[in-house]
Amino acid sequence: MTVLADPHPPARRQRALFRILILVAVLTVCAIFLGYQTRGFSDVASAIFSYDPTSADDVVLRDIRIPRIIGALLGGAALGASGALLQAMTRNPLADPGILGVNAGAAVGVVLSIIILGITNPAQYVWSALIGCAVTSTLVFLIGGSKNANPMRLLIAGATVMVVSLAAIRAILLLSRQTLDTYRFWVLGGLDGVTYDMVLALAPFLVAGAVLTVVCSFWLNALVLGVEMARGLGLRIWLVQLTTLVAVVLLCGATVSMAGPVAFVGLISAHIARGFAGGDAKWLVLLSACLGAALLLGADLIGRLAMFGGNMQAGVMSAIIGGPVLIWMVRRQWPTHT
Amino acid sequence: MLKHVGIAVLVSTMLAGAARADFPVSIPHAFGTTDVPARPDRVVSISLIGHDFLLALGVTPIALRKWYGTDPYGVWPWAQDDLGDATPVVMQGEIDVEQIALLKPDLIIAQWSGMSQSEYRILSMIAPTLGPKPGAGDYGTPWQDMLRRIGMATGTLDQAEEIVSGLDNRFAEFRDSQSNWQGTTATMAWSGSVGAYTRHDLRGQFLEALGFVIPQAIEDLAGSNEFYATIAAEDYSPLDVDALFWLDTGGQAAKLQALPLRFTTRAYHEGREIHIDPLLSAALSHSSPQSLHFALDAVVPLIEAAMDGDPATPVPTSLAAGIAP
Repeated sequence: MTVLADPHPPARRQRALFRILILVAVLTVCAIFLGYQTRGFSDVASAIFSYDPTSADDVVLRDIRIPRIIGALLGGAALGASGALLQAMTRNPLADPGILGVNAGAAVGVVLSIIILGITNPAQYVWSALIGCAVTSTLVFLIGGSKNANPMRLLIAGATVMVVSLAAIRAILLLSRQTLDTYRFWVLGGLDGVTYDMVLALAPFLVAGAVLTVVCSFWLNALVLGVEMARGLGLRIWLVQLTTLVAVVLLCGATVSMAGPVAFVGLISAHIARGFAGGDAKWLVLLSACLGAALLLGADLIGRLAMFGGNMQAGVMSAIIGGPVLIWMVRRQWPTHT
Repeated sequence: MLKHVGIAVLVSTMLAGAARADFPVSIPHAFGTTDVPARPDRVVSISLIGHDFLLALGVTPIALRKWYGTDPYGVWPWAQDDLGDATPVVMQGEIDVEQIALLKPDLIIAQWSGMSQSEYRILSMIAPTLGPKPGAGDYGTPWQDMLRRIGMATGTLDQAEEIVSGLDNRFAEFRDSQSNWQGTTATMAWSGSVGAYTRHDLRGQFLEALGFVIPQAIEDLAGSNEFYATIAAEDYSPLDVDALFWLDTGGQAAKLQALPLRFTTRAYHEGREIHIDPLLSAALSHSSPQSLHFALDAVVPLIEAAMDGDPATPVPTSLAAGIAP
């Protein structure tokens, strides 16, 4: 049984985890000090210990940078974990939260809430995005789920729902300029506008998603051995799929409602993580979550720098960073299959 | 004496010539030069605001491009009287060449339309097509020039000049009556992802006509010939102005309240923010002869309340929108 021979010894994974965590820590510190203008230790100390709401310097640090850092860490980790879960479940290296229609569903929710309910406050998109996510994912599961547990069906159902949703959005946007104005910034995906309240409101979803993620990653480890083997071990495949999807919807739904549809982070984090984790779903999910946090934090940090106008959306920046990395990995023949 | 009579005759002949608006006329624009052979009577406007200009000159377009708003023809209240009972074909969204060809126009007004070079090439095969003024950018032709150019193309240049001088006088009167503000700074901005218009935009030009100066910081951020600048979420120093106009195309007050740095600006603390409600925003965005009169009526009292720099006398619209300090 070569399956059980592990080409990725535990020491290698632990080393990778340790390095990624250091990267996250370094980026976090950079994200506090760097931005449109660089801030020193005394500025940071004053913002924390003698906060003055009329001081622009204090407000930038405490009400803009720190909530964005928290949002980037949570959102990036959620996307990274979701990407890994979906790739492990579907055994398809192209799976990512976008392909299950999660982002498109959230976008439909946002557009409908703008045009029907007249909501224009980004903080209120949270709920419409979350509901949109849940509805489309349920639809995808109803169309594509089956006792045969063929992940391909899920992917095709997801792709179909996504295309139909995006077409519906375009049709609506053609008719409403006001919706377009609001939507076009949201759809780029970015962390501007993240507040402490928003993070707190979404925390329960993220926590629930994280708990389910842990459960799933144990089950998926068995599934990686193959459907027959997993059945032999007494796993109900549909239950694994359903739990995975619920975890993904909770994590991505919360993220997309906070930061808009951030592209690429879920896909690329899972790919990089696979190089370290090999076939172990638990490690794949863990490493991918940490990498996702690092990538989104880094993307948001670079987007805030003056050389990009101080306003480049993290969703745009993560794709700009992620694209070349993915190409490099493909050319280096980084492992794409478990 | 005879000499004087001769000059008088000469002058009156010239004036009559101008009023007759000799065709053909040649008008240079960003994509070349357009020749209008005779006074057109099937005018199609693909300019998002061009129908206002045509209607002001007494020319009813057979088709217009609806920008936004609830009116079925996309004509806002200030131009409703000029539209009267006319029922032009309404186009919406992207430029539809096929639909335009079927209308058999003899003039296409395409200033302020976002028309591309390749769209121009096709449209100009259908009918003489008037593009933006050379060097002004898609949305940068000042309203006076747009009106004069439409006047030339439709044989209504005299009316155009009359309207321009009437409005220019009104702006001049305003500047004279408020001489103590002249040269102070102002900017026209919007919320969400915050941005502000430069002097290459009609709304920036409106501020300049009132006698305000647009801060150099905003022009620098935008780069040359750009019609707007994006403001960094971490640095609002370009918005440190004496009158800060917030354009609201609908429900954006909540977004303004969600901008943490806004509450540290001088404009906020001194009650110098002017909330521009959706109707007035539309009037400024159209910057047509009719909408500018409408906008001036509405905006002057608001500017007065803002420019006293006293938060105790809030700007009424800002108070109503719930964004006043």
